[in-house]
Formats: sequence, C-alpha cells, structure tokens
Amino acid sequence: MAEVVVKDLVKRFGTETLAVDNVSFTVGEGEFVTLLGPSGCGKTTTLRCIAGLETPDEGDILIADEIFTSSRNGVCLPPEKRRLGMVFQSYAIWPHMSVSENVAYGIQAQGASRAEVNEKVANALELVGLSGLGERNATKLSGGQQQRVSLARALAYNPRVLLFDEPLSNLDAKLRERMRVELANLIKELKLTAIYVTHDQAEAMVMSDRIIVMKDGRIQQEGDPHATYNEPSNSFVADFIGVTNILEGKAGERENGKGLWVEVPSLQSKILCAKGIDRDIAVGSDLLVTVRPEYIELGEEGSNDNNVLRGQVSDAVYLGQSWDCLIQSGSFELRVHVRGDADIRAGQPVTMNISPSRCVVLSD
Amino acid sequence: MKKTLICSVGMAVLLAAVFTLGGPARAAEAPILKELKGAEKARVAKLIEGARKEGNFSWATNLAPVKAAKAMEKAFKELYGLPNVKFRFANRRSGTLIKRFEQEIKANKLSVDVVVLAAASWLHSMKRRGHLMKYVSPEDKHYDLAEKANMNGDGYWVSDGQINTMAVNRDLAGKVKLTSWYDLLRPEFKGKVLVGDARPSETYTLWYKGLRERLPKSYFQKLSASGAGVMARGAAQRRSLMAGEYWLGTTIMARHNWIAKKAGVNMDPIYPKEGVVALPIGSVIMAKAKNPNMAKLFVDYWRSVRGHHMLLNYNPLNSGRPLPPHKDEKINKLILAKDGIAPPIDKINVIPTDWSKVTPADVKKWKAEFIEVFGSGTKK
Amino acid sequence: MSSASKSELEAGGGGAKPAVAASSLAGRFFNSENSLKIGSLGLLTILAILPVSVFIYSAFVTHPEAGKSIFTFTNFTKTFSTSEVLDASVNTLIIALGTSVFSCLVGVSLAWFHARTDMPFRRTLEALTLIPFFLSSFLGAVAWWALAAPRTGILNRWMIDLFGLSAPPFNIYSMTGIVMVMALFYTPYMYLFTIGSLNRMDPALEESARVCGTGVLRTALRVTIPLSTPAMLSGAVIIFVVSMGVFGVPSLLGPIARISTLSTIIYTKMEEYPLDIGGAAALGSVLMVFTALGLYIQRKIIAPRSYVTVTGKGYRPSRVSLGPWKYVALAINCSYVLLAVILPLGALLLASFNRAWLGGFRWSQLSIYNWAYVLFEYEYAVRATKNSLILGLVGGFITVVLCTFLAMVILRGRNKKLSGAVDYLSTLPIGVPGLIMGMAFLITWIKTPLYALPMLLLMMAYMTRYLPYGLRTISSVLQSLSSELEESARICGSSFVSTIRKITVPLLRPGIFAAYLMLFIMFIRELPVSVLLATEDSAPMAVALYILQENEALGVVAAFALVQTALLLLGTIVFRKLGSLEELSV
Repeated sequence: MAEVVVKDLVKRFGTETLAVDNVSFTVGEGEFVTLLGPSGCGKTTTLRCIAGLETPDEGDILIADEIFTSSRNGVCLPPEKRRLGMVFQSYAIWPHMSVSENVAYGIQAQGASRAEVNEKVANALELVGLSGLGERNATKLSGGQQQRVSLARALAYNPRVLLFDEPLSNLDAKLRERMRVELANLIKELKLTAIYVTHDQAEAMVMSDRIIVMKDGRIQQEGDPHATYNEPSNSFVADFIGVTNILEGKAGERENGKGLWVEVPSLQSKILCAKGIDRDIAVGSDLLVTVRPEYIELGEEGSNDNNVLRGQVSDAVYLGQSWDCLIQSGSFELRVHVRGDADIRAGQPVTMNISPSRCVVLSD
Repeated sequence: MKKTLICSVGMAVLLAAVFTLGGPARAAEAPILKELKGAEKARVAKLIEGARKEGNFSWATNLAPVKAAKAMEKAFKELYGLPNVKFRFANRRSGTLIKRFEQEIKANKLSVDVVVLAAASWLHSMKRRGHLMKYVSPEDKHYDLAEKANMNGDGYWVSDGQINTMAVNRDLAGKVKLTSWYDLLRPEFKGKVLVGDARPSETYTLWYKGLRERLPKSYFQKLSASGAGVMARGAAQRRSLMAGEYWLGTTIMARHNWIAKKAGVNMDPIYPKEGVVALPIGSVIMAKAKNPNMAKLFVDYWRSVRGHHMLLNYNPLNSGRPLPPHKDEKINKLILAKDGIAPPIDKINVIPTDWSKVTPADVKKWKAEFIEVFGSGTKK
Repeated sequence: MSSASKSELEAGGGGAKPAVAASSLAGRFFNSENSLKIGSLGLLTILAILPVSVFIYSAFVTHPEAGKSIFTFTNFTKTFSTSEVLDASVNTLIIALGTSVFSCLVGVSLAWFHARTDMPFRRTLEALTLIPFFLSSFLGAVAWWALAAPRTGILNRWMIDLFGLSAPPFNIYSMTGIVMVMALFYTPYMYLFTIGSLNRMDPALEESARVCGTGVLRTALRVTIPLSTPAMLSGAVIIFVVSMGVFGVPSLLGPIARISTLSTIIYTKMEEYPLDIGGAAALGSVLMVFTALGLYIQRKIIAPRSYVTVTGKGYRPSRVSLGPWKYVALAINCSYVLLAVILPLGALLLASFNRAWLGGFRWSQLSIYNWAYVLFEYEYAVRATKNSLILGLVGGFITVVLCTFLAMVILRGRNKKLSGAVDYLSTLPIGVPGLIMGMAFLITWIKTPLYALPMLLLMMAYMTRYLPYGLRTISSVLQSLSSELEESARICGSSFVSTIRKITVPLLRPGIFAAYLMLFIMFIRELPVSVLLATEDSAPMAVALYILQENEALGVVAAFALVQTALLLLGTIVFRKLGSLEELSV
C-alpha cells in the first residue's frame, strides 16, 4: 500500500522558473526513498511541498490516503497538521533550548502529558545514542551530536513519514559515512517510511530502497540502487551516478536473444549491447551507449560473446585497490578501472573485453 | 482587630467633621459678593453658580510666568469662593500660542477659555472670524487710556500695554545717559545692541512697524551696520543682557528688567523721547469657551485693580487703566513710577497706532522690510 | 473512509467531508500570507504615504477663499523668490555637509583606534565615546550655549581670565558653532556605522599589506580605510541627510548669527498668523527632494559596492601597534570625550544649581530651586516627563512589535514581490525629515477625530518616522536566523502563531531588545516630529525643553535637560541589563 502519493506536482518560482515539473511518485509503507540530483533539480522543493513548507501550483499530495495538498480542491494542509518529521541540513536546533526541550517540542505540541513527554524524550534520545545529554545546551554539542538531536526531535512524536533534507552534508567525510549506515539501520529497525533528499550518490546507494533521480524539475529514473547503477536510463543518470564512458553510435541489427549491434565510429568497432534495448530502435538511428570503467576487463579470456577491443594505455593512476586508466582505442579514450594487483604501464598495448550485458543503450 | 475598628470609627468621625465643616463654608457667600450690590451682585452670584458647575478653567498668556499665574489663581479662588475649580495654565511665547490655537481651531477643538495675549493682528482676525465672545466687564470703563491709544477691541477686549523698549545693563554700561533711540548708534555701543528678531515674531514686527512711524528706515540700517545682534526670544535676550553678552536691548519687556533686578543685575528700561510702541495685551474670551462663567469672572478679576496689583507682585505690566498705589511701596517706586519698570501707559510717550487696521498683510510687509534691513544671511 | 476522500479528490469536490473542510480552513494560512502582506502595505500607506502625499499636495495648492482651492506653483515661486529662503538653503547644505564631514573624520578615526589599534584605555573610552549617542544634539546646543556664548560662556570667560585675551576665543552663535555641536553629537553614529566593518575585517588583509613593507599609517590609509569606505560613505550620506532636517540646534544657535535653515523657516511659517502651510510644504518638499536624492545615492550607488571583507570565522583581529603615536590617539579620543560629554554635562550641572546664570557658577546663586521646579512644581514639565515615558515605553513597544511583524513579513514570506514592496514602503520614512513628518501628520489628521487623541497621533508619527531604524535592527538579526529553525517547529506540529511565540521571538530577543532600546532613546529625545504635532497636553520632554528654553532661566532648562539625560542613560542601562545586550547597532 502506498503511504505517500505525489501526483503531477508542479511548482513555479516567479513566472519563469519551473522548479518542479510534473513530478509523480509513490513511497510505500516502510520504504526508504531517496530523491537524488544536483542542486537546483527540484528535489528539495518537492520535499518541502510534501512537508507543507511550499504550496505547489499544481498537483496532489496524499499521505496514508489523506489529502494533504490538492490544487484542484484548493486544499493545502499547513505543515503542523501533517504529522511529519523533518531533519534539516542545518540541523535547525533551537539555540535557546536544551537538548531535551528541543526533542520535547513536537511531543508537547501534540498536547501530551508531562510524564508522556519525558518518556518519549528519553526514548528518542536513547535511540539516537544521546542518553544523559538531555540537559545540555544543544548548540554546545558537536555537529554529529546536533544532527542526532535533530533526528531525535523528528522521531520523538511518531511521525507518519520522516523527511530528510541533506541531513549529513554538513558533517565531515568520516562521520558522514558512519552516520549513513547508522541512520539507515535505525530507520529500518523502526520500520519508518522515509523520503531522503541528497546530491551525494554514494549516500543514496547505501541508504535507499529506491532512488529517484531528478534533473531540472523532472524525474529521470526511478528504481532500486542496483538497477539505477547498472541500467541508467539516460546519459544524465549514467554520468551523475558513478563514473562512466559514454559512446556515440548508430544502431545496427538485432542479434536474436543476445542484443543489439551498435556501430561506434570513434572506436572503429561494433559492440553488442544487451541492456536498454527493450524499445523500438530503428536501424541506423543515432544513439548513446554507456559502459562503466570497472566492467571493462583486460585480456582476451571471457565469454566468446564478449565485445573485444584493442588499445594502448595512455595514462594510468594508481589508487591502491585499483588502477584508474585511460586507454586509447580508435579515436576514443576509454576510462577503465583495473584491479590493483595488475601491472600497468603507460604506452602498453592492451586487449579489452566487455560483456554485452554491461553495455547499456541509453534512451537519449 | 480592635485597633482597626477604632481606626475606622475615627476615620468616619473625621470625615463627617470635614463634611459638616466644609458644607457651610461652601454655602457661605463669596467675599466678592459682600462688596457688591443690586444687579451687579445678582449677575456675579449667577456667574459664580455657573462657574461652580463648570468646575474647570483654562487660560493661556505670553505675559505672566507660572508663579504669577498660581498666585492669581489662589487669590481668585478665595475672592470668588470657588476653591474646587481646576485651573489649567500655559505661558508660552505668542507665536507658540497662536500656532496652538490655530491648530485647535482647525481641528474644531479649541481647549482654552481665556487668552491674554499681545498679538494685535491675530486678535483682530479672531474677532473678524467670530472666534471671540463679546463681553463687557464692569471694569472696562476704567480702560480709557487704552481706548485713547486705539488698543481696545470694541467690546471683545480691553488692553494693557506690552511695551518692548530699550533696556540697559547698568552694571556694564554704567550711568551713561540714554534719552533717544539715536543714542544706540554711538560708537561705544558698536556690537553691543540687541534687537528682537521679527522673523519668527509678530511682536517684534509690530515693534518695528511702530518705531518706523517715528524713525526712518536708514536709522535701522545704521543700527544693523553697527553690528546689532538679532535674537528671537524675550527670555533669551534677557539672559544675554544679564550675562553681559550684549549691553543694550531694544525690545525688552518690563518683566525681563524685573527678573534681572531680582537676580541682582541692574537692568533699567529706557523710554526714549521719540516714543515707544505699546502693543495691546488683550484679555479675550473664546466664543466657544467651555467654561464661559469662569471665563467672565476671571476676566473681571484680571481687569480689576485687585488683579493688577496681584500680578504686579510677580510680574510688571504697563497697565491700560490708571492704578491706585500698590500696598507694597517698593512696587510703587520700582514699577509704577514714571521712570519705573512698567508705569501705566498714560505716563509714557506711546506712539499711537490704529491696531484694528493692522492686517496680516501689513505684518508680512513689515517683516519683509525688517529682514531686508537686518539681513538673513550668514554673519561673518 | 480513506478511499472516499480520495475519490472525492478525483471528482474535484462534492459533498463536504469534515477532513477536507478542516484542512482547507487551515490551508488558508497560505493565502493569508498575501493578505498579511497586503495588510502591511495598507497600514504603511496610511501611516506614511497618506500624510506625505497630503503634505506634498498642499505644496501645490492655495486657498484664495474659504472652501476653494487652486492647483498652482505659486507656493514655490513665492517662497523661493525671497533671499531668506535661498540663504537658508545654502546654510542647510553647509550645515549638513560640515556635520557629515567632521563627524566622519572623528568617528572613523575613533572607530579605527578602538577596533584596530593598541590605544590604551579602549574599553573605558568606548563607553564614554558612545554617551552622546544617547543624548540629543539639542541638549548639546543648550550646554554649548552655556559654554561658548561669546562674552559669557564659561570657556570664554575662563580663557580670557587665564590668558588675558582681549576678545572671546569662541563664538557658538556661528556656522562653526552649529556644525561643531552637530558633528560632536553625530560622531557616535559614524563610529557605530564603521566599527562593525572594522571589527570584522579579516586581519590578513592588513597583515599582507604590512608584510609588503608598508607602515602602520600607510596600511591604515591605503588598505583599512579604503576597505571600509562603503560603510563610511553610507554613514556619511545618512548623517548628511539626517542633519539637513535637524531643527533643534539651528533653532537655538542660529538666530543670533542670523543663520536660518530650511527647517527653522518651515517652523516659523507654521507659527505665524496666518499659517503659511503652502509655503512650508513647498520648502519641505524641496528639502525632501534633497534627502531622497542622498538616500538614493546611498542605496543604489554606495551600498552595492561594499567589499566582502567579512569572513565567517570568528577572528580575534590582531591590533596595529602605534608605538608612541598611541598617546596621540589617546589625546584625540580624550578631547572628544571632553568636548562632547564632560564639558556639556558639566556645564549643565553647574547651571542647574544656580538660580540665575550670570556667565559662570556663583556660590551666591546656589540653589536647588531649578530641580524642584522641573521635577515637582511646574506641571507642564512634569506632564512632559510623564508623556515622554509613555511614548518611550508604550510607543517604543508598539513600534517594536510592528517592526518585528514587518521584518517577518519582509524576510519570511514567499511572495517576494509583495515583500519587496513592504520593504520599500517601510524604509521610505528615512527620507522624510522629522519636522516634515510632524507637519504632514498635523495637516492630514487635524480635522479628524484622531486629533482628539494627541498621544496616539504622536505615537503614530514617531512610529512612522523611526520605523526604518527599528526594522533595520530586527531584520539584521532575523536575516542571520535560518528559516529552517521556524520550519522545523511547524513540522513538529506547532502552529504559525505559536512558532512565532516560542521560536522566532525568543531567538530574536537580542534584536528586539536592541531595537526597543534604540526606539526608547529616540522617542524620549524626539523633538522635530513633536514640535509641530504635540498639543498642550501631549507635549513630550524635548518640546517642553524647547518651551522652557524660550521662557525660563538657563538653570531651569539645564535641570530639565539633565532629567532627560538621566532618563536616557537609566533607560539604556536597564534595557541592556534586561536584554543582556553586548553591542550597539544603528
């Protein structure tokens, strides 16, 4: 059952800027969905519309089948009536209150008794690992601790859905990585429905059940992390998530059950692509193919169906666990990731093979 | 417990005593009525009755200081048996008062009953516009001096004189003999003469206009060229003369000489032979006065010998009526004598002016000439 | 149930379901944002635009006979054809220019000494340097009159006695005197305008100049001062604009030297009979053109050029070591404090204890009469003290509430166009000199029932005139508060109003207190708005001081001026204690 339904959402700023352009998606109960995209893609605006902090110009938002926003009916529930929880990038910890007072605020707003408030505050602080810090001045805590307070505050009153607006981007890299896992585990443990906004694809990969990639106010792709990474639907998604090679080519014949042949002039070669070909592709039409660097293997062994390319290493950077190489093939420089134990030198001639299942034809 | 009971009983007895004693005192005849007979007694008794009901009174003047006003209030209340009337009083420069009343007239909210003011053209315009109440007090018949000098207002007011004239700080200028306005042009007084600034003030404009009847424009041009200071406010001029900033004033009211003398500075008025300007100080009742009975009684008192004598204890005034000697010999000698600070106007050479013919346009014209003569630019 | 409301949504309405009805009711807040903004626009229109429009209109109208009015330029041609007005225009410009140049020189130097150098006794001197900020220039004029009147001023007497001079060295009744008093009392404004940017300036900017081999003074002149030039210029222009409209100082010190300014002539025109409203309005309109031009230059040309020298990090700026020159700096600062604080207050204190002032303190004149008179005896003065307290505390409070409200409307809304309009309207009154604001309120409201509530009318005029100042203080604090702080409260289930009460207002507290303090000070010493608008019963302290100065001995004036000073300083201390304020802002 869908917990959150967003339907045909449109939000304009001013008359020209279209921040959110006809966005629709659903979030199931207990699901962790991430809105991923570069800044200005409309992900935060979408989230703020769900929270009730922005009024969309068109579209509907329903949570647990209750209408939150409906442009047709002129309904727009104010944020305080939505019973959501939200964690902000800036933490938004109230500096004039102690940790407990911060956490208690939302519970008190629901009119809970004092005992109930105390109990829920204690629970929430325990959940985020801040037991015993309740009387501290919230602004005296470290960044990570402040973010925990912010989380505890959002959790404390059992919101229907938790919203996250880039909550980890103000933390330093190490802490950020630890918090990702911790946060994701906590959400799963509590079986909470969560919508998470970030521009950090690694964060999205680690935490989400499903990723919605956005650009210029539109949804580009929707799917679980694995599918999003391995079968990007267009060049934007392919490029935005991870590192990739994008090749321009012309569609050739289909080979039954194996894939589609694509003529790639820059490689002076034809490659067989097995993904992204479920649509009608006219022979001779221009198209784009993406291949991730780590799926290009060196050597001629491998399945017979693999595409084989020859080239010369033009540059290789050693990163420890891997080599990050540029390999000249035809007029194209392919980015290739090779295992760290290989022996690579610039100028060395190499043979590469790529499984057709790793070659994805993009929709643009 | 017992104590509080005794206390409250005591209080009750006290209160009862106050009421029983106060009652007859209130009902007793006001002292003024004992002096009066017949129709006049009945008239005043009726006014007192009305005044008692009104219970309030508001007046304003550019003439009397707060102290004098308080003393007159006290004496008036006793004389007329009106101890509970609440007085409001404002002493302001004439310009400030005119600004206030014109504002109040515009807002249709005139808040004053009686005005005693030296502002001839304004008084006449108030009369023309119907803002004044016609009231002939029994004291008015004594004001024939003012009547002769064209200072009275045709049943709307009678006038005392405000004489702005020459004054000298004797402590600085010594016993030098001053008899003419032309004495001010003597070289030893260069830069030591102070003139009232006509720009913000009708009083000084009319002083200028009055003197111009006897003195040519060139006289004032010479005075200006000799470095005479120009200052707006009477009090500021007094302070300046007392402190020795300037030695000679030309627009000094009697009051300021008096204040200076009391503070130990020997400041004397001079009445030059060419004459002086006596501005009418009219005592008028507003047509829309909220407390007309009080207003009439107070005007009676103000215009009476009694009122004048009381005022003279605090503030000299060139009376528009002849005055019998004051009981304080010092006041007779210092103020009322022919060479005193403020003799009644019949003892002085007053330049006659028909004040009813002075229009705002005249005031503008003379003001412009004053500015032309004394300049408005930056003094180097 | 849930499917029912969903299907209703798809049907686009129908039978009113409770859930939908409730939510659309609550949803109205979002539309009410616009209505709040339009309401604010309406309020500002009534407060500011209406009176100023009536004022300007009356400059173009004459009334040849009662009830008839003609559109005309005669008010302008008549008024500006007199040499008096032309002289006054020149005087006004000289005074404004002199004031801003001198207060800029002194204020910036002092700010630099305090913020960037190792001048000794900085903390003590900072407090003393700022005292004139809390007093009024009018008070300064009264005090300097006692100090430097040509033949009688204490200083002149003293100099003549001490050095056997033949002529008094100082003359306060002069252009120099007027400019000096004004500059002394506007210096703290300049100081406050610049100290912030000097304090926050990244010391690396100066250090790199020093490393390049430039000396202390060169660094200050070539790097430090140019970097704060936009702040300084803004301050100087604002002081220029404000001092063009100043009324108190020239009205007290000008007449003897035959110096009139546009503001003193406007006042005179409103005091003579018949009132020359048209002429006064014509003068005022021209004055407003000048001030508006100044503000335009400040906002459009100077303000956008400020350099970004402020780094977010909490710098403890390193100080420039002045060597022996620090004693020169100390001497300059001490002279300022002497001229602006110690001498004036000392003179007032001496004069207040003399029954009559004879050009110097006399033991024979020793008396506490003046104090008793203004504190208890003279009803007008006592009432004025009460009025000012009411205006300062109540009026200040209402204005602070309005400023807080407007700051939120401007900074927190989503409709940026309306916000901009509200912002624009609420800064407009800066360009309207106080005297003109007072006159505009007077001629707009005199024939309405509002005139029967003079205190309310005064409060409204004060509120309008000083709104931009309070707004600025609160806005700067609100700007530094992330709106997420409020949004998170809304999401936690707290309503718009309770969010303001529990989150916004507590967080804004320092700003609100600072604004309240500033408005309290401005209201207690306010003269130009009140001098035309106040009625007999509603006259505040500054007007009473003005009236006293016309009628009473200097001792009385001095005592009353000191009562006002005491109130201002006491108010400052109490407010700062309550609001735990550390810094001042203008």
